[in-house]
Order: sequence, then structure tokens, then C-alpha cells
Amino acid sequence: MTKTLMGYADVISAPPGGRIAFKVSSDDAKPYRAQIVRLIHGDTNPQGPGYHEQVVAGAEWSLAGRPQAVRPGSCLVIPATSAFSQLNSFGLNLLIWPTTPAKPDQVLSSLWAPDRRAGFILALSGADGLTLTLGDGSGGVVSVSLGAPVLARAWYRLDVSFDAPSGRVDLRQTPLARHPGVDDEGGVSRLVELRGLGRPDEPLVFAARVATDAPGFQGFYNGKIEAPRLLDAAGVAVGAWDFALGAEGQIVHDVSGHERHGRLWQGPSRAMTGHDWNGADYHWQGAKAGYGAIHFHDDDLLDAGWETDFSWAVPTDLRSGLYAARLTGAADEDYIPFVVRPAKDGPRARLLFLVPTASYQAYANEHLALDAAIAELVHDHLPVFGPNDLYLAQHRELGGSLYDRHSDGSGVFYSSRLRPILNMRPKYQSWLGGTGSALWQLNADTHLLAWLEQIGVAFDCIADEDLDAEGVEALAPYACVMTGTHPEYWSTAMRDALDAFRDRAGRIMYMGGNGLYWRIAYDPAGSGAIEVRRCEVGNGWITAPGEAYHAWGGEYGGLWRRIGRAPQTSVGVGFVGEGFDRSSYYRRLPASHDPRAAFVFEGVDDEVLGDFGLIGGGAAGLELDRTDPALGTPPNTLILARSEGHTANYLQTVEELLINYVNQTEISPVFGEMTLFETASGGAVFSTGSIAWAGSLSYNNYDNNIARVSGNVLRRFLDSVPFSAPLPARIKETI
Amino acid sequence: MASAPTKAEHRAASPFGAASLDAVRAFRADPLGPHGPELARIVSLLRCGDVAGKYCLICVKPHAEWMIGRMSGQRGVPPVIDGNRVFTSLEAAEWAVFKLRWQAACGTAIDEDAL
Repeated sequence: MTKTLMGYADVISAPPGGRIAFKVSSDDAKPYRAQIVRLIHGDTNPQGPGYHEQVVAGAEWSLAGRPQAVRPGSCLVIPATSAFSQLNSFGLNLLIWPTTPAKPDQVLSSLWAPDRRAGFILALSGADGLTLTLGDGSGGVVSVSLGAPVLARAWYRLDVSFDAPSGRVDLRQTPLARHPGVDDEGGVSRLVELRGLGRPDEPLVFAARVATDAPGFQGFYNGKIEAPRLLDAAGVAVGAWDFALGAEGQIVHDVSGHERHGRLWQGPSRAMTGHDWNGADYHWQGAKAGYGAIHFHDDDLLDAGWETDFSWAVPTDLRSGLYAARLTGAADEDYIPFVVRPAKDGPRARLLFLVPTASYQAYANEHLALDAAIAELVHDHLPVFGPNDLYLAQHRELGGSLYDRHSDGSGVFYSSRLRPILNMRPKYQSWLGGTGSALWQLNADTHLLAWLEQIGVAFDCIADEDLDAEGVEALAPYACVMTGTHPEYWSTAMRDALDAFRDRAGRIMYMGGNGLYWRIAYDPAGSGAIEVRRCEVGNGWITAPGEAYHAWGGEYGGLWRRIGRAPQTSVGVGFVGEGFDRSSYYRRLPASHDPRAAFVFEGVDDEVLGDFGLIGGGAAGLELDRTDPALGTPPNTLILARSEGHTANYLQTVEELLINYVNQTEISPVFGEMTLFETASGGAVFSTGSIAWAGSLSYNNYDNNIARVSGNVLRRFLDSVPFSAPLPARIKETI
Repeated sequence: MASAPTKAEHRAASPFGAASLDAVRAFRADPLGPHGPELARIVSLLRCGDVAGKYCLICVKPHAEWMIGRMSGQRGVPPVIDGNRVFTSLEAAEWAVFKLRWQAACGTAIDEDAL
């Protein structure tokens, strides 16, 4: 099946009565039908219960279908003004740090009316190097090229001017670091016939130019730009932009006194080190210098900007849950998932399932197995690609995940949900999901939702984005919060909310592995996009020195463990290692027979738990967590069970290592731990410490020891009777 | 300073010792593993090539049918199907790719009758 139908919604969640707009591209312009469905079990594995969705009555559309394009690439747009269009003579100064200098047609700055060919374009033009193109709007177009080489990831000062009365063009390129044998410094002066710029009534654009035949921009540049200044004939600044100001947003400030502020397009990377960064300051907020750059990419994407095909008002009586708009064409289908929240003032279930949409976004459209040679080694099997993967491989314009690199090799800091996310889908199989069902993130989480439906426990859903926006008040109505299988990405507001909920006697069922791991920030402008800075420890990429602080909010990024709030402080366990082939099982520890844990094992006599399942064949697998008192596991934590028998593919995560040694895997095997602890306020936290856990719930028609343990915990956690939390007289079988 | 062996030299020199046929038999018996240390070492070396031309599987029918693909190593160029054989198990596909890689590394095909 070739992928032709896809879309996205304008929101990730909506309450009853709220309206959702769906934006769809039918690449072959063929008609399609749309229906709203409740997602129950997204796993199509014939070894399991099978795919299950429920159609929502009265929510159906027949649509004509039309292609909608995605045009990535970032730039800075300064609105058109007569001060620009009246320029004939001009000067332009800026600093650049190009990352793909050999790529042709990379516009550094432009004031260009494409229809009349009026104005100027300053660009890096492949072998021609720095090139200034001038157009007078009357057919006269000239280009002057310097022809000097430009090194990648090196700073240059560029000084460009055009004197209209004389027709004199000056270009000068000055490297800030000189190297023997590299002739990258130079200048050229030339007289041209042109005598004016033909009143280009267009915005001044940095890192691109106004597109010729489509809305938007083209000629995108890869690299950093710093401190651009546009001068008039007298050498007086018409605009001068300081990129260090307001780096937390999309507005760029003019410091010339003319207030010609600009807006960024498609989210280039802000709060980036500039030409003068020297390590004296590591935080862009408060730094006196060193953070004057913006890094533009030709594949940045914050908003695909599609037109709405249909919209839907969520019925006021619709159950909260995970839903999707199912699109069905003649030759393809797609699902656009979203969360229906409970009504703000309506009745609530006692259980909340926190849909880890930040983590879905972090992996959105990942290309790891396509781009990284190590994917097969990590997985220990050939990566398997389906139609969505093949489409993503060809259509890089859909943007990358937070694990991917931009086309210039730099890391992707931002992930938007305003674009089709082809791996955030029911039925989707992921190479990351191990053997068996091969599920990851959203589709894996449907194992939990289907189990809740099976046992008949009512639950509400909210999205991570809701939690970030509303804090603990979003959790307060509930007795218990259940996580997804891999809730890995958390903003500070989200972690604060979860901890506050727990400390108010809330109960938490952490049903996954490698959760609460990376710190993120949501876009303060409300686009729903998230930012990560993979500092100190990387994955897919690692931040450059000095770029560890988020632009959005200015917090230090990276692992929560490095920030002093390891996952263990919230849920008792934290990431220790991973493998992506086969899963294993848990063996109960003596603490599982502690009277405090009796409710967990009611009706479970087995010592081995979860030696079955759809994710790798066991409940302990993919990514595993364990206790660590030094990282904040509460002292009254009971370690109920520990996984064992993992394959040699399960390796410690790098932040666990201070040094490597021979046969480390055998000497320090990776295992996950199942834990329980009570809180002083009468709450409690149960953790599985494994992504694969949920894949075992449905085994034997949901009658098995993993389902029983999960159900026992859930029933007790929904019971309002407070937990007593006596610290053991002596700490035995605890941490 | 001696230069490090290239990947090709490394592959040619190391994986195919006297015990390697036992490893081949073990792979054929259980292509999805987990593999013993010697076989795991050989499999890892066979798999460590660059992305360009690297084998993958393309799912043509979920949980039922797969074909061998080759990756491009070029951004924006998707994997392409290599050959026309449709496999009905992941094990069979893994074994087929193992044989292709073995032949490319050794210069001779695995003589399955001799295993």
C-alpha cells in the first residue's frame, strides 16, 4: 500500500463541546471518508486480541480530497516598510556560520520581489561562494560573486554594499579564524549597469527569500546568522537585529531605534552560541555576550499550515478517552489521534490515564533506522519498514523527531504536532518495539486502554499538554493516575504536578519504562511544540557546548537525572538499560510477601511473572528501570520483583557508566524492578519498570499474573482508604 | 602509527574462523536468536556496514509477508525492494539476508547441503 492519505488536528486534546479542526492531504486528490472512532486496541498482531475500535455515531464525512504540501525551512521575516522599498543604495553587515556551504542557492538575506525581479539577494551559491544579486524591477538583473571558499562551521563577517549612483558593488568576506592554505578571505569591487533596486515592496528576509511560485519562502540557508544590519546610502542603520534578545520566542528585536521587529518562520533554533562565545557563560539568559546567533535549517517545521478539511464539535456526552479521525480512501487509510478530555465541571472517573503525548511528539516521524547504521545492531534483527516508514523516508519535509538530525547534521530541538505524524497511529508497527507486535508509544499504550476496557474500569484521559498547562489541578479530581508504557519526556510543570498529586495522597501506577527521563519545554506561544536539549548525554545527537539551556523558558535541558530530579524521586525507579529484541520475565523477591504488598499478589502464587506477552514475549523488556537510593528511591520502597534472563542485547544506559570494561554486560547485567511505596500523605506508587509490561496484559484472554497484579494494584489504588506508611522497623528486602 | 584496519579488512579477517560453520548452523536453526557469543560476534560484524546498501525488510502484509529491501543511505531516498521473493516468516527473511551477507563477506555462498 502506498501512502497517499494523511492529516493532523489543530489540537491534541479537546473537552466535550470543544471543536477540533482536521487538516488532510489526499496526495492523489482522490475523495475519502472520515469517521471518528474510539481507539481500543491498536495492535493488529494475530497472536493477540486483534484490532479494536468503536465508531462514534453521527461523526462521518465524505470529502473531495486535495493534496496539501508541506514546505519546511526557517527564516526571519521583517515586515515590508517604505524604509526598505525606498532603498536604492544600501549596505549589509552580518556574521554567518554556515553548515552546508556547498549547497547552492542559500539565501542569507533578501529584499526581493520575485515577480518584478526587484531588490537584492545575498546568498551562498555553491562554488561561486558569496553572491549578491541585484534587480531594478525593469528587467535589469546582475550578480556579483566573490568565488572564495567558505568553510563549514566557521564564522565569517560579511560586508556588502551597493552604491546606486555609481553602480559600485562591494563584497567582503572575512573569516574570524584563519588557517594556512585556506584562502577564504577576500573581497571584490565591481561596477554594474544597475542604478536602483526598483522599489521591492516586500519583507526583508534573512535565511530565505520570498518564494516565486508558491506562498511562503524558498532558498533556505543552513547555519547560523548573527547581528545583521541593513544600512541606507549614508551608512545609517535602517534596521539592526540583536538575536540575543527575546530568544524565548519567535519575535526578533530591532535595536536600531526604528522598531522594525521581525518574526521567525518555522522555528529555527534560538539561544544559540555566537561568534564570541568563549565558555565564560553557559546560560544565554543573563549572559553579557556570546548568544547572538540563530541557527536556521532548510528543514525546520513548526506548522505545516494546512487548510481545514472538516471540523467536529465533541459531543457533550462523549466519554473521555483516546479517539481518532479515521480517514479511508480508495487505496489508503490514516488515523489522526486525539484525546477527549472530561468536561471541566462534569463527573470524573476515579482513574486518569495520562496520555504521554509529549513522548509521542518526541518520536514523531523518527528516521533512526533509516539514518543510523547501528539500528540493526541495537535491535538485533533487520529493521522492518511499513508504508508509513517508506513515505517518511522519501518525504523528509514532514520533519524529524527529537532523535533526528537536520539536513545539516545538527540536532532537531523542536517537535511540532501541527503536521502529519505517521508513527503516532493505531496499527503502526515500529522497529523499536522488539519482536512480536513491535509497538512503540501510542500504539503500545492501547494495550493498557484495551485492558481497562476489558476489566470495565472507568477512566478519563488527558494529554501531557493539558498537564503542562494546568498543573496539579488537572490531576486533583482523581484517586489514581496511570501512565503510558514509555512516558519519557516531561516538562518541569508536568513533573511538579505529578509530585504534588502524589504528595496529596494521590496514587500513581507507572506502567512503563524509561519514564520521567528527558526534560522538555512546551512552546510558550501555545503551538503545542516541544523543545529538548540533549546535553551531557546524547541520543541521536548531543548539544554543542553552551547550548544546553532551552530557548523556551530558559531552563537547563537534558536528563532529569542530571538536573537533580531522577525518575526515582517520583516513582521509585529510573532508567538503567535497554535492548530491543526479546523481552524476559520477573522473579518475585522476598519483599513481595511483605504484608504491605499482600494486596498486589492476591491470587498470584507464581514466583515467575510475565514470561509471556506480545512485546518480545515477556513483560520485562525494551527499556528497563530500577531502584537507586542514591538517585532518590524512597527508603520505604519494596522491591517486589526483579527481571532476569535478558539477552546480551540489553546494555546499560551510558549515564550509568563512568568507565567501560571488558565483559561489562555479563558482569553488570541489566534488569528491571517492580516496586511499591506508600507516601506520608496516604498515597502510594506502583512501578513496573518495563515498557513491555502492557504487552502481557492480554495473554490468555487477560487471565494471567501480569493482568492480575495490575488489576489488584488498580483496585486498591482506586480505594479511598489511605495507605499507612510505617517505615519498616528495620529495612529488610527494601532498598 | 599503524592505521586501523578498514571495516572490510576487519570483516574479512575476524569472523570466519574454524568454528564459523557451527555458527552458521546455529543461525539457520534460530535466525531471531538470541545467539550464542560466537554467533553474536559474527552476526554483529556482518551487520556493521554503512547505511548505504544495508539490508532491511519491507513489510508488504502486516504480520504475514515481508520482502528484502536495501537502504539508500541518502536522505530522502527510501529503501527499495531487492528481488521478488516474499517471505512468510521473519525467520526465513533473516536467514536469506544472512546468506547474502555471508556470500558478500566471504566471496562464496553457504553450501547448505554441507551444513
